[in-house]
Amino acid sequence: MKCLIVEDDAISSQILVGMISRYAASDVVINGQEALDLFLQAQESNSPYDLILMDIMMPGTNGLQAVLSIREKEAAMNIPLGLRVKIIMTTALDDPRTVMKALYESDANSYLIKPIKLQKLEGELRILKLIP
Amino acid sequence: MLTDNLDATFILIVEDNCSHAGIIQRAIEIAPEEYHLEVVGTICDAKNVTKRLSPALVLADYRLPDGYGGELVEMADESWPVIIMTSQGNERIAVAAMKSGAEDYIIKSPEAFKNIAHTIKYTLMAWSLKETRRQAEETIREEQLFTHSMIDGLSSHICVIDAQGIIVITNRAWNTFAVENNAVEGTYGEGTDYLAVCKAIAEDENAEIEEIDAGIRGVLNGSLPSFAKEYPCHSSEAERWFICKVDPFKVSSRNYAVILNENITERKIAEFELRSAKTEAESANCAKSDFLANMSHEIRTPMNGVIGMTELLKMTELTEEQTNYVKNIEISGDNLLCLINNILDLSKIEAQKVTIEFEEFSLHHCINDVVLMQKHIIHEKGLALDVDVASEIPHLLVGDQLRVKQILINLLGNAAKFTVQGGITISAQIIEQQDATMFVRIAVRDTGIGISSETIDRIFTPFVQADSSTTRQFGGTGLGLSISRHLAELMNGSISVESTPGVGSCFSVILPFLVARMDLMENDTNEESTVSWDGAPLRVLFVEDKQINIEFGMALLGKMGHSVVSALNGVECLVALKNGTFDLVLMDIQMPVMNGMDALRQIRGKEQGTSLHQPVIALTACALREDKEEFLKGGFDGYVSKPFKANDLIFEMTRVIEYFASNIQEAVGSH
Repeated sequence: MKCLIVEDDAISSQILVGMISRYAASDVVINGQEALDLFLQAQESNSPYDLILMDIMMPGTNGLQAVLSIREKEAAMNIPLGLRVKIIMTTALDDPRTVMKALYESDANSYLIKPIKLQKLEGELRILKLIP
Repeated sequence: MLTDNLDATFILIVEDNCSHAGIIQRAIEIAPEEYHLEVVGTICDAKNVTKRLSPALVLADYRLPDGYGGELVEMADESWPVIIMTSQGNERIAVAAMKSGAEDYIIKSPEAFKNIAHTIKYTLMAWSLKETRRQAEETIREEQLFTHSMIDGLSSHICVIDAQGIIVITNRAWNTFAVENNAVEGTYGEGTDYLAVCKAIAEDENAEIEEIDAGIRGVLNGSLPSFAKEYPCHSSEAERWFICKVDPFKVSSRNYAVILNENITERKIAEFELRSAKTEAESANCAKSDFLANMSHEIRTPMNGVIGMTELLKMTELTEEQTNYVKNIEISGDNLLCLINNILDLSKIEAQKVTIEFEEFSLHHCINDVVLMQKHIIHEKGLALDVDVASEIPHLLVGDQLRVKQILINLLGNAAKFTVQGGITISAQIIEQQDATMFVRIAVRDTGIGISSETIDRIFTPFVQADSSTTRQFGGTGLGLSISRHLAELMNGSISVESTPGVGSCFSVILPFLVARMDLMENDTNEESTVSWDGAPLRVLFVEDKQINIEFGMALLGKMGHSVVSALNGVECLVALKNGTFDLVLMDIQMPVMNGMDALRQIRGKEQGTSLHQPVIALTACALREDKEEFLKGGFDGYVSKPFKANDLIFEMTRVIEYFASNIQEAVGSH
């Protein structure tokens, strides 16, 4: 499995890399624009990401805008729904309403509220059928 | 000469002429029992007698050895009547005597002496009448003086107006105030047309006076029982406030109103100060709560570091000692997170950022969930656990399940924490039902350490535990009960506790819920066999958050031959519509996250400017009682109210689908 971690907080990204290490190799970027660039590069070189863990609040292009752009590109490339990259939003916002709204507007697949526990992350991966 | 009869009328005769005196005496003594006569010859003697005994009448000669009879009139000072006798030819004197206050006069003559008894009787009668009248007048004068002194003594500015608004009486304070404030002569005194004065000021765009003017008129014409209004009336030197009170009264069918103005500046200023202090305190508290609520993100990020790194550390090779250390970091991290969550919750409540949702839920399931969550802790401590939910509580209630759970998790958590041996009982029963609202008491009873009567009042206050040693012994933040109380009150409920130290505590939450009508499942089980759909199978999106309803709906629609996708709320519905195509959406209205109305608005919003139209049928709970028309106007194509019969649903689905099919045909046909 190939994973892209988008996170501006170094410690948070280190944690995600560590947690997911037993399931996937990760690339780490610190803002939405870099995420989009890397996503496109991976598509072009025919080794697309299976999973993106995207922080919502980041400087520059934020997580919401990045997810929207990625979904637009996927639509433009005619990638069927089932084959599109699974995106999990990560956020320190704790109001479920705000997070759900972000989720809907951006068309991500799921979300995790920080602090993130390994158990919860594995749960989401299982739901998205990324791990058995 | 004196008779012994003390009840007799005492008549003093002042006459130096002995023969005249004798005649008079004889003339009067026709009725000796009636009168008591005394005859003196000089003014000096007369004075001495009257000092000793007040006469009922004095009959005095005008010319006396030591002066004139007029002196006796003066001396009487209207205390008794004086009749002056003069010799013939002295009528002028008699007239003068009358003018000076004599009651009557007699021109001496044998005739006059013969009639003297009659004259005296007449004079006494006239005097008595006069006296009575004078006393009555005196009483009235005194009463008036009393009333006037009384209202003059009041510091309020008072006037009384009649039915026409003319000032009848004013008090001193009223006049003084008018003078001190340079009121124009003729705008405040007695006789002023006060309504005209008010009207003139009101027309000067003085809204307060306009209101007062209307108030006075209202009281006078009987449309208002009374009127009171606080108004500012600032002078050039100081800010002042007054209250104007108008009350009606009636005197022998004539209507009056008393207008009272009182200076309330001190009270007003105190009120303003109190209000601004309150506002300041509230805004300070609000700022604090806002800050904390907004800090959530900043706090969670480093917490994520601590907890996440601990998780990673656990994944590495550790010695036994290290494993132990990591475990303790993990426990501390979880405790800190719990504390932070509580503080943030409380801040959100205080910053009024917590809203209460109304959705159908099962209290039975809700309590079971909470019990399930804490069961292992309770059993680990070897405590007994009893759950007793009254079977009369309906399966479906309408309320905020999440908040109810939050309260119960807290209460049950506390019971488990503070109980060392014995057991815990959680029970629920109906205590009252008013129309569709049902009051349910949920009680959590334990056999724990209990709470002393000194501290029991404080335990719902933030940051307070029964005593500080409790914190050391049992841990915890003391925020849980405060949050629980806030949440209960937000739901229009209440929370209370009874406790005996060393015996145990019982926390009761009383919450109002709406009663949902029977859910789909209970309503419709025996009709399943008759379900049949005549048309082509449809792709249906079934949007519903209650598991029990989802299962039933999916089964029912499946039996009809449709392919069904389910979505748990408005957001999921929108995601499903984005990713797939559906012939029909069946949409529940009350759902968490995004309700059916909002979801529909989004759907219709996206269709704007296109020829697309997604058929959507609303499924509504009866507890809401919304008007069908409202739903159809809101953009739904159809409406089925829950609980419904399978045939209701089939009928409405058929109607909607056929309507759109014919529309499409028309559209195709016209091309």
